[in-house]
Amino acid sequence: MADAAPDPAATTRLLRQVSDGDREAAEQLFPLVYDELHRLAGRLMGQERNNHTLQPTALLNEAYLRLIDPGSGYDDRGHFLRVAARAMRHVLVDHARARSAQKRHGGQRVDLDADLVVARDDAGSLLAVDEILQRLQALDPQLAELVELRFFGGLDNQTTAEALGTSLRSVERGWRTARAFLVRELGADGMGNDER
Amino acid sequence: MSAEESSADNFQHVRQLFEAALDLPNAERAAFLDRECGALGMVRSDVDELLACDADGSELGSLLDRGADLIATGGLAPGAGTLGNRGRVGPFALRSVLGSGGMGTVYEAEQDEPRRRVALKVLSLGLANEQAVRRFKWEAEVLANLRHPAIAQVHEVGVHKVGDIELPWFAMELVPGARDLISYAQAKDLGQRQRLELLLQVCDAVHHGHLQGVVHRDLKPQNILVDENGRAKVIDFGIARSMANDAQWTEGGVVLGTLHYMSPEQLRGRAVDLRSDIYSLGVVVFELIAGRRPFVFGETTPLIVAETVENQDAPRLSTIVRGIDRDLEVVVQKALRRDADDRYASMAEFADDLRAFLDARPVRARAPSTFYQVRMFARRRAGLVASSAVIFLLVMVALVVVLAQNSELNRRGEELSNKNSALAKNEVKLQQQNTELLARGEELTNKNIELAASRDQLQQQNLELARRQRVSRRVAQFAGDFLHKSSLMAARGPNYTVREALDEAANSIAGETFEDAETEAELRELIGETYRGLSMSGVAVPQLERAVQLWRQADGSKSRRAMSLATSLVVALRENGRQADAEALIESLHADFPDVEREDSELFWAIQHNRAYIMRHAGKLRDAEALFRKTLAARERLLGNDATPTLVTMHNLGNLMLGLGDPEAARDLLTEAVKRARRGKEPEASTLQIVDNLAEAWRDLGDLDKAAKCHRECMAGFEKFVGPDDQLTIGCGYHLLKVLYQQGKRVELESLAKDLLERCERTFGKDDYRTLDVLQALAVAVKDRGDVQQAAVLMNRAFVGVSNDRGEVHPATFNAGHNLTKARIAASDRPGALEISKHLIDLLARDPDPAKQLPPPFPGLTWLLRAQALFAAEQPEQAKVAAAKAIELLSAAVKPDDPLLKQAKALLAGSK
Repeated sequence: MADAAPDPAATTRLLRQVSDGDREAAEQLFPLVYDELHRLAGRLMGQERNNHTLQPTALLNEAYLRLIDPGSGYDDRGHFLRVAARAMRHVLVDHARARSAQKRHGGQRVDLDADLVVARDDAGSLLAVDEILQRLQALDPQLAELVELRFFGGLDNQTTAEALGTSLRSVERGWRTARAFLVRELGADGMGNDER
Repeated sequence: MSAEESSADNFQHVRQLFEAALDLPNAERAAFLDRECGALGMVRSDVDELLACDADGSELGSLLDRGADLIATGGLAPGAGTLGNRGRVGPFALRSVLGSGGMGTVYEAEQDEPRRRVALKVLSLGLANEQAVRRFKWEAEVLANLRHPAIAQVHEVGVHKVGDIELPWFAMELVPGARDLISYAQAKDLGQRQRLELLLQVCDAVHHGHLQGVVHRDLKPQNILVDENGRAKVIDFGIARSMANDAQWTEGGVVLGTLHYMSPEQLRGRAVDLRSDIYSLGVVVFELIAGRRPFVFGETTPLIVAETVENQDAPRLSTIVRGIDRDLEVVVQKALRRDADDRYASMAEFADDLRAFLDARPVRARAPSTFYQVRMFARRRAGLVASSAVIFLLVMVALVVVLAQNSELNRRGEELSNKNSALAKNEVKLQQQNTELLARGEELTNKNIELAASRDQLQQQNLELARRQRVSRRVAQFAGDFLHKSSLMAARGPNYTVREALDEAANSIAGETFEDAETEAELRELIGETYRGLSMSGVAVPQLERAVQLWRQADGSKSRRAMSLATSLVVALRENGRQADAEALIESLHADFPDVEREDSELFWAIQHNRAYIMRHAGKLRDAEALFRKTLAARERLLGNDATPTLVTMHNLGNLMLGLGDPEAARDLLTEAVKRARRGKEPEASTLQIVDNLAEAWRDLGDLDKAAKCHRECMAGFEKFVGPDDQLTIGCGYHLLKVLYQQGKRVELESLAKDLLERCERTFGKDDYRTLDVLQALAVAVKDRGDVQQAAVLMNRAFVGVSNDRGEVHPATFNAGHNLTKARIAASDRPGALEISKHLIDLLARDPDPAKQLPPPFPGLTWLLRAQALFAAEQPEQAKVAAAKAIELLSAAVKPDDPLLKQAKALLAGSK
C-alpha cells in the first residue's frame, strides 16, 4: 500500500468532507496521508541513502502536492496541515520505535569509535515527547494540537496559526506554555538532565 | 504534585496565570501571583515551575522550538557531550571541552603529526547530503588559506561519521588563555580607547577576509577571542556560510544567540555581502561601548528580530552612555544603518573612521570627504528645493570648519605642551647649574629672569589657546543647535530652500548674544562663505564685512585671520558689482602686508592673486597678466606645481590670455593646467572647468573639432557631477552651441538649443539673460533651417526679455535688436522690421550718447540694418540716406574691407 500512488481526487474529496465536519471522512483520510508521509519519510530516512535531515515541512508540502488535486479548487491548506501533522507525528514515532527496536536487537551497527557515543538515546527522547503529548492531550487538547503542528509538523508559528485559525500571538503564547510544560516533564523523565 | 495529575480545569487555570505572568516584567510576577492564587498551593507551584522552565536557557527549549526532525534523526543531540572527552575525531585526540554552543562543541585536541594542540570544533548538525559535504569541504579549503595574525588559522577540516550522521569539523589554531571579546574587556576593565583599539584589530582581520572574498557572516563577541597578550583572534570565519544554504539554519532556535548580531538582510535570508559584517561589528562595538546591544528583543525568532531591526534605527549611543563623543556615535550609527547602502562601503572605511575618532581627526561618517564637495553639492541645489539632507550638509560645512580648526588647535596644544616639557627640563638643568655654580649667581639670576619671562609668554599662549578652544566649542554648539532646529524643517514641506535655511541661520545669529567677538566672527564668516559658495554674493558681503570687522577688533587688523577673510571679501565685493570697494580693499591689504614676510607667505600670494583678478576686471589686462605670472611662479615654488592654488592661478591666467587675444598662450597654459589637475587628483568638476576654457582656446585657434570635443567631454562630465540643470553644465552647453554654429551643424545646434532652453527655464527662469542667450541661439538655428516665421517669433521674445533684463541701451539688447531686425526682414515682416530698426535708431539718439556703451561697430550696424529694412519696405530713397549714415559710422569703426561696409556701400548704390 505504501508504494501505491495516491489518488488526489479521492483525498481531496475526503479532505473537503473533513472540512465540513465529516468525522468518518477524517478516519478514511488519515491512513492515506499517513501512508504517503511514511513513504516519503522512508525515502528520506532509508539507510541506502545518505540523507540525514528529515524536514517535516518539506515532507508535508510534498505530501500536500501529491494528495491534493490541483484542479479541485481546494485551498484549505491549514486543515490539511492539521491532519498531516498528526500523521507526521505517527510516522516519526513509528520510525523512532523501529529504530530502538533495531538497536535492542543489534540490527543496526553503529559505526563509532568506542568513546564517541551519541550521548542520548534520541529515539527515546522522541518517544518521550510523544508520551508527554498524550498526557497533554487529556489536559488541553487544543494545546496538544498546537504542539503537534509546531513540533511534529515542524511548522513555524505563523503557519501553525493559519492551520489552527487563530492569531499568531495566541500561538506564540500557547507554544511558550507547551514548551515550558514539555521542558518540565522531560526534565522529570530524564531527557533534560543537562549535565552542563 | 505535577500537572498531569491536575484536572484539565486545573491545567487551564495554571495556563491562564502562567500566560498572564509572562506579560509582566520578572519583578512584578511574584506579587501578581500572590494576588491571584496565593503564595502557596499546587496551582502556584505549578505556575512557578513553568515560569522557571520558560526562563531556563538550556538547549532543550530551543531544541523543542526546532521541532521533531532533529531529535528524530539525531542530527542535533541535545545538550553538551555529543562526543566523549577522550575520543578521536579524524587525526585528533580529544582532550577537554572548551565550550559549546548552538552550532557545536569545541574541544581542545591533540594531533600527532605534526605534533600540535588545536581547537577542534565539531558542528552538531549533520550535513544534509553529499552535495553539502562537497560544498563544505571546498569552502573549508578557502578558509584554510586565510592567513592573518588576527584570524585563528584553520589547519584542517573534515567530516566525522557518527552512525549515519556526518558531522563536519574544523581544526583551528588554539588560542592560549582565550577569552571572548566582551569578557576580556570587562575582566581587564578596559577603557574606551583600549576597547576600540582591540576592535580595530578585528576590523583589520575581517577586512583581510573580505579582500580574499570571504564574508564572515557570524561576527559576534563569542567569535572574537582575545589571547593572554591582548591580541584578538577572529574564529569561525565564513563557517556560517558553508552551512548556510540549508534552510534549517535560519529557522527556529538553532541560530539563537547569533540573531542579535545579524544584519537585517541576513535575518531575512537575503543575499549577504561584506556590509553585513560591518553591521555585525557595529553591534559588537555598540555592546563594547554601551555595555548592552542596541536592541532588546522579547522573543528571539528571526522574524521578530528582523522586524525590529528593519523598522527601527539603532538607538544612539548617547541615549545609553552619557557624555559619549558625538563622532563615535555617528561612526557606530553609520555601521548600523538598516540599509546596507547607507553603511560604510568597506571594513577599511569603518576602521579608518574609528581610527580618525581615536586620533581626533574628522570622521568620514560625519564630514564629507572634502569641503569642495559640499560646496558643489550646495551650489548645485542653490535656489532649488532643498531636502533636509541639504540642510544637514550645510551644517556639515560648519562642522568641517570647526573640526579643521579643532585639529589645528590640538596641534598647537601639543606643540605648547612639548615646549612646556622642554621648559621643565631646562629648569631642572638650570637648578643643577644653580647649585654647582653659585659663584656665577648673577648670570644665573639673569637666566632665571629670562626663563620666568618665557614662562609668562607660554602661559599667555596657553590662555590664548584655551580662549580659541572655547570659541570653537561655542561655534560647534551653535551649529549643533541650528542642526537641531533644522531637523524641524522637515515639517515645513518641500519648498524650504538652502537660501531660506541660510537666512534663518543668519537671523539666529542676530538673536544670539556672544560672549566674545571671535565666536560671532567665526559664525558670520561661515555663513558668509557659504552664501558665497552658493553664488549669492549680495547676501554674503554684509556677513563677511561684519566678520572682517570683528576679526580686526579681536586680533588686530594685520592679523592673519582678518587679512585672509578680507581677501575672500574682495571677491565677494567684486562679484556683487562693487569693483571700486574691492579694489580699495585689496590694495590696502597689499600695502598693509608686512614687508619681511612677503615672498614666502601663502597669504601674501593669495592677496596677489586677487589683486590680479581685480586688475583684470578693472580692464588693466596687461598688469593683471604680469601679476598672475608672478603669482604663478611663487605658488609653484611655495606650494608645488600641482597644488590647487597654483592651478587656480594658472587657470585664471589662461582665461586672461584668451581675453588678450593670445589663444596659443591660453591653449598651452590650460593644457598644462588640465594635465596637472588630473595628475594632482583635483576634483573632476573643477578640472572640467579648465577643460571648458581650453575648448574656447581651441575655438579661437580655429580648431573647431577639438573645441567641440572638449566642450562635449565637459558637458557630459558636468551632467554627471553636478547634474543636467546646473549652471556649469548649461554654460558648457552654451559654449558648445557657439562651436556648433561655427561648424554649421544646424541639426545638432537646434536640438541642443531646444534641450538647453528647457533646462535654462527650469534653472534660471524665463527672463534670465542666460535663458535669453540660448533662446537667440535657438532662433538662429530655426532661421537657418528656413523657418523664418518661427525664428522671428523667438527672436522677438528674446529681444523683449533682454531689453527688460539688461536695459534698453546694452550691447546684448542691441545685439538682440539687430537679430530681430534681420529675422523680420527674412520673414518679410516689413512693418515689423521698420518698427524695430526705428526703435534702435531712436535709442542711439538718446542723451548721453549710448554709443559709448556699445562695441564700436554697433551704431553703424544699427544704421545698416535700418537701411536694409527700408529697402525691403521699398523705400529706396530713405534706405540710401540710412546707408550713407551707416558708411560714415562703420568707416570709423571697422577695416575698409569689412563685409559690413561692403553691404552698406552696395545699398547706397541701390542694389540689394
